[in-house]
Amino acid sequence: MSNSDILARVLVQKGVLTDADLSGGATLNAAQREDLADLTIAAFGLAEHATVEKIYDTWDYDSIELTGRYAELDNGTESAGRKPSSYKLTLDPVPLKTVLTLQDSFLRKLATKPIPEEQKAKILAEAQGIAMANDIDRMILYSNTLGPSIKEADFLNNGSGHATNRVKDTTFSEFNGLIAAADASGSAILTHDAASSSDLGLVLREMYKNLPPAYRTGKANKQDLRYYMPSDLYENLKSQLQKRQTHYGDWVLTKGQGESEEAIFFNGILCVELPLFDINPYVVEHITMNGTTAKNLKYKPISASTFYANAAALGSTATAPYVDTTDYVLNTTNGTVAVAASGSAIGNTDSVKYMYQTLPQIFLTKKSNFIIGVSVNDMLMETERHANKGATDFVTRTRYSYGFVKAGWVSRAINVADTVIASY
Amino acid sequence: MFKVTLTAGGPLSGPAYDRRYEPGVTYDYPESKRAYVESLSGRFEVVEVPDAKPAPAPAAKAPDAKAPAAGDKSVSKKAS
Repeated sequence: MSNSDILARVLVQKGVLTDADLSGGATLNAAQREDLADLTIAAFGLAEHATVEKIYDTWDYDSIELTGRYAELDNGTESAGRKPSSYKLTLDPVPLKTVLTLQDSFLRKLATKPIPEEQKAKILAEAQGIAMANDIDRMILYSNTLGPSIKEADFLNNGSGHATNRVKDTTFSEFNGLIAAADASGSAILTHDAASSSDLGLVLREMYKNLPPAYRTGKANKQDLRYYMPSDLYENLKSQLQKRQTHYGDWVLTKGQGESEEAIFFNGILCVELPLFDINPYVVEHITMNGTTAKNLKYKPISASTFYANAAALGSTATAPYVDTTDYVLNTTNGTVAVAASGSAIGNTDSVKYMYQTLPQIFLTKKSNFIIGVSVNDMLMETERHANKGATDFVTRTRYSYGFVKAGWVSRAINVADTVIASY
Repeated sequence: MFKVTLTAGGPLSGPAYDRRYEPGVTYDYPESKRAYVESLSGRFEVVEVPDAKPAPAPAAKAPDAKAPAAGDKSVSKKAS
């Protein structure tokens, strides 16, 4: 059952929506907003494995940390006391909307169904369930304030737009998602470069070893930890575990699949598959070129077929990407790029935006450290009638944000191979 | 001589690295490690330090110290 099916059912069962809500163009009342926030949260791929907070505007999370030694011998003398360090996570939610335009002819088909309200609710649930929850999942993974480049047709998604020329993806530029946050200068997120290793057991252990010791002690900490990985990598891990000719190998082979799927643990830590986390995640970086001298990209190896270069200042005007060998020379194995020797459209010292896909990545942190905020006050659902066009717009709005309480408690693996280790 | 600084992301480790790199810390590498330094990803800033060694050569006081310095020089010449 898809997200939208679940949402449609719940929307009607809960009485979130009625015909009056939809036909009058009315916004939701407070209770309905709360319900809708719950439903959107339920549709998140991350919902079960992050801390999702309903927030009402900018939201602060204050915390203290005790580092160093705090215990001292009680020998009857007065102590000067020791001060904890404090830190704060501020979520400043980003506004989003989805506009679904439906022709009357399509709505008429829906009206012939036994429960029109349910069908109409389903349309809105599609907008919420797919456009909001899934896109928010993606934004949390891939947003980058540098601005990813995207085909104009994919960005506009309304039948117009250039099929190959690229624009800056302003929707995914509002904040730094997981990957960009880990790559940013001064980031506290620890990175293990797997250097194309396919031994997931080794990679997952190295990630765990990178966590600060204080974060590893205690049974409760391990139960709270999660490995977040692309769906395909999760399958690779299962394949790897199945190779073990043990009870557990058999268990993974039989129970760990299909309808009766049970959670896979590694090293006592729950592994979470994120279907929207591509096996080859997208990254974007700006590099100031140095003529024909090769400049290193952040990742290697990379795929030439999904490598796009544009001027760093790319904006809303659809622009043809630079061409491999004509404008730049790409070495996919070493992960380097240089300006082509002659006839290049790239100036020797130009700043260039590179958008490409890399080998799989994995994140490890505590569920309680990973906060997603959905702003309830901004949950809106409205309809707008265009009598002249014979169409109705279904508009939904929300605001959301994410963050880590403490970035130093996040461990990441990069350049993991998308292959299953030969023997295990 | 090279100086290498991790400028992007948090602490970095892995089988391809000879150490765990902390962001902002500068690590020194000799010329013999050039291939390794060049293989580092774009997370690093690599600064080539000009050959400042031959200039402060007048370490005439201690002939012991002078001998290895000359030795180093010839080795690096051979390598290049």
